[in-house]
This record gives sequence, C-alpha cells and structure tokens, in this order.
Amino acid sequence: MRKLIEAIHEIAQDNPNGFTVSLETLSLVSPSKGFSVALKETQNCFGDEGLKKVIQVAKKTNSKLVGGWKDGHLFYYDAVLIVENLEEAKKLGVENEQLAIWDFEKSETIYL
Amino acid sequence: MNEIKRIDLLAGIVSDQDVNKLEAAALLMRRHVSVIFKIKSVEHENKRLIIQVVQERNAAKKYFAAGELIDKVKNVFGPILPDWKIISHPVPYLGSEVDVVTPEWIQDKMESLEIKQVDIVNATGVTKSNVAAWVNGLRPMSQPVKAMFYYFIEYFKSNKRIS
Repeated sequence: MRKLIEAIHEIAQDNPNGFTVSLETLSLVSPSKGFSVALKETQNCFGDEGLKKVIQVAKKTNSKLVGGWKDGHLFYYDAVLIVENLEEAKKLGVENEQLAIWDFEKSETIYL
Repeated sequence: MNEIKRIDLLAGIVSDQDVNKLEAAALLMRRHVSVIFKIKSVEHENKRLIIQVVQERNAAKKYFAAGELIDKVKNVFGPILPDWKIISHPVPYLGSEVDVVTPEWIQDKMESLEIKQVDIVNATGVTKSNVAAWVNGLRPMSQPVKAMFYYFIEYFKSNKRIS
C-alpha cells in the first residue's frame, strides 16, 4: 500500500490540476469514449488517509481507477467508474449524488 | 477554494444550488482537461457575463483551440444562465519547449552530441539508475525531469559551442 500511495503522490504532484490513474498499471487513463462517474463513498477524501480509503474502494470496483486533484494545499482523491452507456452513467451519477458527470469523447460536463 | 475564480460576482444572480452545479462542472473541466474559468465581469443591466477561460498543461494531453474553449464556457455556464449573454476570453495552452522531451528525443540528442549517461549523472547529481530508467523509457518522466533533460542538453550544446 505504501508504494502505491507514493506512486500516486508522484503522479499527483506532476498533475495538480487533475488526473485519473489505473491501480493495476499505474498509468494515466484518459479514454476516448465513455463517461466518468465519481463514487459517493469517496467524496471529500484528501491526504494520505483519504487516498488509502479511495484505493480500498477503487480496488473493489471493476474500473480500479483513482482520480485526484489539488485544491489549495491539499490533494483530493476519489474512486471513479468509467461507463460506456450515457443513460447508465447518468443513473449512476444520480445514485452517487453527483451534480455532473464527464464525457470523455466531447470533453464536456453533463449536468444531472 | 472556489473552482471558478470570482464566482462571488454571481451572488444574487444564481441560486446556491446552481453555484454548486457550476463548481462541480468547473472541477470536472479542470481535473480532466485543465480548463479553468474566471469571471471577469458581470453587467446586470445588460445581462452580460465576461468569462476568461484558460487551458493549462493536462495529463490527458487534450488541448483546445480558442473556439473550442469558448464552447467549454457555453457547456458549463449556458445551462445555468440561459438568459445571459456570455462573452468568453479564451487563452489556449501554448505548450512548453520542454514538451518535446521523450526517451527517443534524449537518445537522439545523446548520440548526436556524444553525451554519455555519466555526463548527465555528473552534471545533475541524479543517480545512474534513475537516469538510465528515464533515458531507456523504463520510467515515465515528470515535467521537472523533462525540464532537467531539456536544459541539460541546452547547456551541453552551448558549452560544446564555446569549447
């Protein structure tokens, strides 16, 4: 876990505006299609403790993806799902109390 | 900290719920494509809003021209302020010279300038194993590492010209 956290830290430092990384390959992920939905369970997770929780949650999903961004002097993280179908993505977004989801193909937000 | 700079200028114009929506959408724009919004001015009488939209370097390497950045403003602000005229000031990402650095670029420069890995190790104090990993593409390079290689090679070139 420590090595995983350190690797994600390095990625976060290099990409403070934001990133999505695969826990399996530790490579950055940016699909050409699909929709990103953040999980409610990992809302407001920041710092090392937050990242640990996010990793644990993400490992249980099919996507195994962790997203992050810097806000002020803190790094925030969340577990995200990438869904191909728009209606399914919207439904998941609502279930996870999201206000918007991300469209990778159009690089746009979709309000829910 | 607010995602949209000067969002306080929208006080009284949009509801708290809509502010939250704008902030959520703006955060998605920043985290996925490093697009950042700043409200420059609000003209209540004319219902005119001027927004600066800037794109910075992003992990996805997706970059937009000025027209596309204007579309991003419409995507985020349009649904929340449908009756307002929104004027965008786009600032596209221009890139950095350092973005050319890849393992292949480094190897090519090393060959043409007769640079050995030990030269890089000695000049930078970075360990041999790290330098080798980056040069051989075994480890991804962060932006500071790319800058290090780029400016080392520039330094090497200028010193070679002098000597």
